[in-house]
Amino acid sequence: MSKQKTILSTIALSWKNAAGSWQIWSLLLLVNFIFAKLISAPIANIIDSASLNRVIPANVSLTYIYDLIQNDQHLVSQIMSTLPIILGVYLLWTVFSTAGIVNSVFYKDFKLSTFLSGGLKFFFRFLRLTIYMLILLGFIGFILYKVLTFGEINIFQIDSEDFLISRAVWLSICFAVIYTFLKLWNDWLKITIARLNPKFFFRQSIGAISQILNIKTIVVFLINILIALAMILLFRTIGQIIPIVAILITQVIILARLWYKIANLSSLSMLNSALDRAEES
Amino acid sequence: MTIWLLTVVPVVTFGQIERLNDEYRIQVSLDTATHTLTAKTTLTWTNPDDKPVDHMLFHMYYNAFKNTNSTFFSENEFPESLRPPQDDGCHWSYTDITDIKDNNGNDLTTMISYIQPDDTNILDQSVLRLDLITAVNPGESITLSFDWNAAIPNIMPRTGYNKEYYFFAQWFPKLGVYETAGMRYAEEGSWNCHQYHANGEYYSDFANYNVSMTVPNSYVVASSGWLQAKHTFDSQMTTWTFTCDNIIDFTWATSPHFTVQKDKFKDTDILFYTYPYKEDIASRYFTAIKYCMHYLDEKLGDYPYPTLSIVDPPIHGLFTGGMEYPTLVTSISFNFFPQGFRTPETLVMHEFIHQYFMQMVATHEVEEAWMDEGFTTYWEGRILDDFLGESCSMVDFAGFNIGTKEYNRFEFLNSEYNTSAPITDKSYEFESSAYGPISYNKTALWLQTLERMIGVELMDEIWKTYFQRWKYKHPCRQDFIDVVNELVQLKCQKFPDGMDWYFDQVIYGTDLCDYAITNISNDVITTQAGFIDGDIDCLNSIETDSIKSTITIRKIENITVPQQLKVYFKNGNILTEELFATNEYTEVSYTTDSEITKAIIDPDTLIYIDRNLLNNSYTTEKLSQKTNNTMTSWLQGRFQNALEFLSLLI
Repeated sequence: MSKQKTILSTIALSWKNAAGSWQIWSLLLLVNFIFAKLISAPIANIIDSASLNRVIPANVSLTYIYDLIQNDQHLVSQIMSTLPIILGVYLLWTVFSTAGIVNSVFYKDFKLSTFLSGGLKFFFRFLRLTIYMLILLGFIGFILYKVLTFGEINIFQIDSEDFLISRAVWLSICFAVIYTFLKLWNDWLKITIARLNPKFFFRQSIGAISQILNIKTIVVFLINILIALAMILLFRTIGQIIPIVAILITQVIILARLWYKIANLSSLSMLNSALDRAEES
Repeated sequence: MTIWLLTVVPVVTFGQIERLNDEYRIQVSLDTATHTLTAKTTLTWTNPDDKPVDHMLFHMYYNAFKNTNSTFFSENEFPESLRPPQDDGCHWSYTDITDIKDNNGNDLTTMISYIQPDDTNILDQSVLRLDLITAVNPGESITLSFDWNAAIPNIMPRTGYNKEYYFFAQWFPKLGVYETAGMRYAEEGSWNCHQYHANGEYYSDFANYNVSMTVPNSYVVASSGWLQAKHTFDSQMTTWTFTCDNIIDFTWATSPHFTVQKDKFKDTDILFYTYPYKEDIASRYFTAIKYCMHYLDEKLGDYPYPTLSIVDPPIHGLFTGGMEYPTLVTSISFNFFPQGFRTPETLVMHEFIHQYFMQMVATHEVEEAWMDEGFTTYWEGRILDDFLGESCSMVDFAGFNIGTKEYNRFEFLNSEYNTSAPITDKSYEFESSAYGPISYNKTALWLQTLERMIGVELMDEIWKTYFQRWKYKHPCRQDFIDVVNELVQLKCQKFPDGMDWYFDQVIYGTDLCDYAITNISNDVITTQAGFIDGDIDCLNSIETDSIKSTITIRKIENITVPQQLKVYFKNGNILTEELFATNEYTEVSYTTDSEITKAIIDPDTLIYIDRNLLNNSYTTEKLSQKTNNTMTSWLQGRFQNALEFLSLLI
């Protein structure tokens, strides 16, 4: 009973923290909006230049998109070449902002100054962690791909595609489970880095593996995901029922995802600190 | 019980000689251990010409896969990854006539030679010439009896075996088409019989078939025609006898794993053959095919055969999928194929439409591929859009929609080869990547444009007339053009001289079409200034209430078509006029008391072949701003979501 209570109160407090950290999520939302604008604006320019003085059709169709691209191929290739740069910079911002959130939830101080100082303090360590995470994901993806194509699959040699499909389904489930644990491990390690402030974190990353294999941590992590999914579903449904401007609904859904991010790190921070207290006692 | 009485005896005459169907009786036995066929054929052919014929030509298409020297393999550009493994045993094939006699008892076996009518590759053996000891006189028949055997190729395109799946297309020595003077392009009577090429399909004559296949007991046979008898004569083998009259080819498939599901449209039994793991897709095929049959039944005429077989091969028989044969079509699907991807519906409809265009109206698939593939693609677009909705008849998945007609337009316009050759090229003369966009998609696109220009009712009448006039015959492009011109001149006031001006551009030419409105100017007219008509008073120019408005139209590509121009004035007046802009720039001017705010060339999108529909309009007001805002917001939302999703990785 008390364990349940602890789980529920951890979650409740985390979401309260998330909602209360309005300076952080406002900034995150704003930056997300600006970066999306950086990508969508040139595309809008193509539409503008193609449809300047044109009567354009009411529905977006393959015909319309194709004619649009034909109209301004130069700008299309420009967008394709700048897109990786924008995505790269956004990735760096995400590393910075995650470091800021971790700092804020660890000190339970949701002022912008704490967020920014945390971003600066942990940026390079989190960047390293991100690179490790991407390498790990790539490696796991490679292994799963090898398993998927194991046995030199030649469509002329197989009896039916059934086994390939079921293999793909099982591997997708495997990937989802592995990714979930990897993500939990990654988030937990971030909190640990904030708590112990180590220069290198090899020992902590090994320790995190055993620490996350804890029913309470897993339950809290999963419930937070469920809450986020429920919120997104709710907002989507509201958006479909009530004729609200689509862009507003998008902002609310993005906001729900940002709240989840803060709430999740906040929950893990509380659990991580509790572990710390338990170790001390 | 339905008794089928087909019009077996054709009524076509060229000169005084009646053209009779070939008669095939084939008894074939399949050896699944050695992957070989042993067969006996009796063939009766009647000379339709007014002069004796002293030789005959046969398609020996299994010899295309005999060795790497064949024309097929010298032209073949199949990706290496899709080639079957050639290293564990022999995968090559051949057809060999071992004994042949005519009805006078003459042994003709030594009179066989191989010829190459299309190229200089003397090693190609896909066309056989048989010199006759006794020439066949006009109107007389010859009956040949021959024994032959064949090695079945391992998964070559469209035919062969793999594992326990056998598909027999182009599998027997099949007579070429004897074209009499005046038939298609023939100036004098001669055989038309092409080698087997990497690009392109087939051409053969109408015939009545009676085919008995002996296969192991456990095997199920799917075949052209309808089952007449099934006889199990020992514990090992069963003979299935199928018959069909008035068809241009005969195809069959067999496997011990085939399951059969049945449905019916009017008096036609629809039989669906597939492997057990794909049985669930049957309902999609039945629904689509019945819709298609009903549609063509109304627009063209009855499907006259008592059966239609659909074969959906297992994955290892993929090369045989998506093909058309008389009364038997093949499709492609995969297990768990999402409903929103319409590939099974598209394929089965496309192949069924071929029953009309190239099976009943038997055009030459090699010399004029567009007359079957292009016509079929046109009808496929019409029927699928009608069946599933114009915007989503090809893909309707996760909010992503594509219509069939617009996809055809995209396929043609997006191809880098779209101007590389006229559609009149023979299929094997096309660059490999140009064949599809030009034969299939370009034809469909200009037919859609023709339909919009002359109206769908007249177009339907043209199709019906063409089909009824040419069914069970071998028309060529001029025969189609003649039907169009005849009816257009009679019923379409807009084009009193017919459509040759259009066909010259789209059939014989390689140009594209793109008209654009590049500018609208509105200038207030001022009065004359100076000393006018000897008046000693100097007049100053003053503005009048009249406005001279000019619309500039640019013909960017070379195809010239008449268009409508719709002009919108600020005072609410709308003017529509016919325009035939032949120069690169055309200016259309109006003097009125109101400015032009908007002009649209081809406002009803009749000229669907136009490569950029967006530049067909011009407005002096930015009317599109509202739509732009909606689209920009939509894009913004999508990218915000995508970026936030990306951050989940961190």
